[in-house]
Amino acid sequence: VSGALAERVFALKLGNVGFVDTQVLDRRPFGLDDAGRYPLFTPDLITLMDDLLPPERRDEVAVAVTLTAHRPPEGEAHDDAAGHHDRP
Amino acid sequence: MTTPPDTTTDRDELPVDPEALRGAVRTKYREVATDPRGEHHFHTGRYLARHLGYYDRWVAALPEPAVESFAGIANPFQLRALRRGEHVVDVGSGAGFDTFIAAHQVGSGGRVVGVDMTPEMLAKARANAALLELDHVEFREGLAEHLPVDDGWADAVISNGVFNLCPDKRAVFEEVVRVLRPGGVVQFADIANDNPVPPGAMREIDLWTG
Repeated sequence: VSGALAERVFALKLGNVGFVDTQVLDRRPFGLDDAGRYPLFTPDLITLMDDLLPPERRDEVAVAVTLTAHRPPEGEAHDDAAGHHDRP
Repeated sequence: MTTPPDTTTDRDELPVDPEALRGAVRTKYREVATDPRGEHHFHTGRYLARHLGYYDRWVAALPEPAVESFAGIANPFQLRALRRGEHVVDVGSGAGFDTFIAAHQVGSGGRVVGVDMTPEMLAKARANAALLELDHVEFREGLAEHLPVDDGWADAVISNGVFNLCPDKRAVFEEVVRVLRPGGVVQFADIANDNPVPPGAMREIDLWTG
């Protein structure tokens, strides 16, 4: 997960290349049990994380997020690096 | 909320060697393609899809080889279904799970292109497309940073758990915006981490892939 971005950095980077109206539609805590369901996490890695993580972090190793963003329609400005909205 | 520092990179300052990282990712996904259960304690595939909120009726329509190597981390369709007739690109399509759901949503009047860099996943995805007799789905070999898709072709770009594996996010997002038509949408799921990643960890390829 070293390549994971913070939510706000996702929005910033999308805005930097011209996307607008970035919305975080869903957040799902990604805990140790979830990591175990994910094929890229080997049992050895899960065991290591289980050993190293404090109990309060085991339910949220990271967060799985779902985002949308739009390429602006033709002719519209796209200076909206700050155009990030959280869905209520 | 305070915006955290941008700890990711511009193209000239990548924390890992992109080719070495791609090699490690290909190795992992080759294992997931050829031995999806592998040494994992937990069920993957249908169990994971249900856990992530995919509708059973979507998944039930897919043959086992299309589901067993699913490695998504969320459900990019959950709040916006694709529209009939849309052109869609699935970045990091793997064995085709999300690609086939997209194909179902856009219907035979739409088109879906899955892009993946792992030959074993591409072979599996193409075999699955043949099993499903889908002629509006195509799988192409390529990188997220160099999508083999024409400018402005796509109405929507989807991806699931892939961008965190790409060291040069800017190059990826530039490609996504390039292939989208004006007004097009990217909808993707990925891992987010609001905890700063220590520079040492960013240089460890093993910590990118797991």
